[in-house]
Amino acid sequence: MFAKTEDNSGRTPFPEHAAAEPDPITQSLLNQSLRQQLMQLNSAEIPLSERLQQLRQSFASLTRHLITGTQVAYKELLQLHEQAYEQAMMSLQQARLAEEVLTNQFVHAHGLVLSPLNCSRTIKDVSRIGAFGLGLHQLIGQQLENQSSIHILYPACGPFAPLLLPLLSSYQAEGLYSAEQIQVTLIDIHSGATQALKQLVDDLGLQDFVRSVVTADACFYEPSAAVDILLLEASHHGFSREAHFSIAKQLLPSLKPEGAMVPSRITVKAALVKGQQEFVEQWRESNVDQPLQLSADALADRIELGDIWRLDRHSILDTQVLTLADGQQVAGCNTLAIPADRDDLAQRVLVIYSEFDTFGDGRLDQYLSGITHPRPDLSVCIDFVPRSSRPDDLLLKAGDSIAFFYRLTGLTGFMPLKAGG
Amino acid sequence: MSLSAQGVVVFSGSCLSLPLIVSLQQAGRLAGVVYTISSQPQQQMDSQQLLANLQQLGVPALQYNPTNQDHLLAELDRWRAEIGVVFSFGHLLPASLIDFFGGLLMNLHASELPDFRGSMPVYWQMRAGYERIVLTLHQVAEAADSGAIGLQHFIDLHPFDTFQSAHIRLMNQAPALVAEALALLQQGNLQWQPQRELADTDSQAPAVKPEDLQLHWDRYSDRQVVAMARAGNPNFGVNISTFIGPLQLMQASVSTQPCYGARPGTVLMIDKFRGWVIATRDGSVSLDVVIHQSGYFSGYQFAIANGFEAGMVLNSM
Repeated sequence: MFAKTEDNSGRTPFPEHAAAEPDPITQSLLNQSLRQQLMQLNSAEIPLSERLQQLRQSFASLTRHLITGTQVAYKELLQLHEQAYEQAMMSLQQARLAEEVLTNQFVHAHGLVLSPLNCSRTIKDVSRIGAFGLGLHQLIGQQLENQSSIHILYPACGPFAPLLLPLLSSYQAEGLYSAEQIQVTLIDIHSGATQALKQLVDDLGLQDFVRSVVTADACFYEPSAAVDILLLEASHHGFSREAHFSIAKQLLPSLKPEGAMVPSRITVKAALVKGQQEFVEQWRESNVDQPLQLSADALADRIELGDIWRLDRHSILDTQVLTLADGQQVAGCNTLAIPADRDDLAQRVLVIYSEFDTFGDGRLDQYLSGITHPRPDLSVCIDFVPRSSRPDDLLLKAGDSIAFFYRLTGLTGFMPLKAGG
Repeated sequence: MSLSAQGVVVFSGSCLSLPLIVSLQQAGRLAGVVYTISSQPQQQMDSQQLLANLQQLGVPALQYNPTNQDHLLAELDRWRAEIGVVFSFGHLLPASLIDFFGGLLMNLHASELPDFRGSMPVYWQMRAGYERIVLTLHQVAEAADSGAIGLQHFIDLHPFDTFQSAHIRLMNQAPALVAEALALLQQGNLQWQPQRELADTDSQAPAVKPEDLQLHWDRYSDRQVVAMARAGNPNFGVNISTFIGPLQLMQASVSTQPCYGARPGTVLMIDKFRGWVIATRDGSVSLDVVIHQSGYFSGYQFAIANGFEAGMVLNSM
């Protein structure tokens, strides 16, 4: 069994509940989420050794091509990720989470906390895991050139720690790096996530790599050991909803000067798009076996306004957090100008999207992952007045400038204001 | 005929009047019942149930026909009715009937008149958060709910009372109020006090319209949402728009879950024990019981079964 746990750091939002016996409702919820005949098989009927072998193979196969330098077709990767998801869900089933733990989700002081059930699907995001895996693999190699062992801190890792456990599985399968070289601390605020994670780490046979699994709010967590790599991805599309910034701001001081963060940079951009072209027309001929790519026509039709925010190790630490009168916290970002010479602005929607430079060659462009899809902000009305107005409508005109602030309290996200208004 | 033998006729279209009818019958004071059958399906069932009970009790009964007052007055004469008590009747009574009783046609109205005049005083008082309802006995005048007040009883509501259970409290209080009024009448001590002037601060209690039932998350406080649900349970509900279609909220409770600045209508939490928690204008509420075309659900189960997630914003019409 997994022995190394730590539960005394930061704040634990609610106690851990484990069902001693499989909860039929929990089983049913898991089956519902799979929607596949696979789960009609009772996982208990599959011999343990066979299940573990399939799980380990499926995880190792997700990132093996990154460390061996082989090419794998996207369609094949989709299948591999689907298999890994199914295996991970079997492990989650073995964790025997109580229904109330499996489904619990809430808006927290610094961002959204997903239920273990809802965030289990991240492992199916081929491009995200590929981009983070590639960057992380290159960074680990670089770090281990100069020292014999490294400490990776992975907060907000969810029940499957999907940006790291496949890579560790590949290392173990290929015999590339050992547990003496890589030590990992995994943190999540949700006790259900950490409970599931302990099961998964056990099932993957990665116990020796894992220093501890911690149930804690990473926004208040203080690592007990210096960190070589801070691995963090906690945001929805448009860099919204979750606590990525606050977690990074809290944990970056623990990063060694020669250490690095993955992603090394996040660039959040704004553009004005025609909704029909952007969100409908350009995808009519898209192939589900290929990653989504912005079409040349849609790209040409866009009005790019520029970077709202560039987040890297230094800019995050330098960002001043402002506390408003009602206690909410915001960070000031860039001010962007709306072109004065366009006569079609009333037909356009403001979208905000983020792109990730994970490290080295690892990069996640817009549309490649759920977290890089452009997020429309329908409250911004340029050169038109909406028929049914809402209290948070922002009425602007060509030539105005938009000052962006980032809300850090509750559901995080950008708040555009009229500059000088 | 002595005062003690004055016959009382009850005007009603609802089973709410049954305890009053039975108590008058047991006291030997019931002359008969004038009933009305509503055209509204739900109320029609109620009035037909009343009629069935009257037949079972062997009570003289006459269906009200507003176009044939002569027949009604003749029947009342035949019953030797001298006092009329109107309780949940649903019709304005004409001057000829008011004159017939010579000041002894009385209405039971569930508010501290002249506040909440109208056909739905309990709904609107519960929605306004009242925890006490006044049952008022007043003389029937040609203008609705405007006659002089003879007697009032106070009824405390339980915090979990619904529209229906509040009416049951009224139903059970009515016999005592009428018995006390009859005793005072017999003693010559029932004093009729004209209602005070209607003030700007007085509320009206009109029939509930569909638009009254729509929940606008940015308009209502947590307590107002809870009160809307109580007032609407079980007859009306509260209409909530969602991405899977409309829902009816039947029970809600104030939540302690902080909003952290989330806009009204945001799903703040989905939790088996703390419920399906939504941000309001000033706080948060748990949607405890909801009705959808697919059935009756706890808010938590409905949210999980239908893919609602924390952070989503429920539509506001």
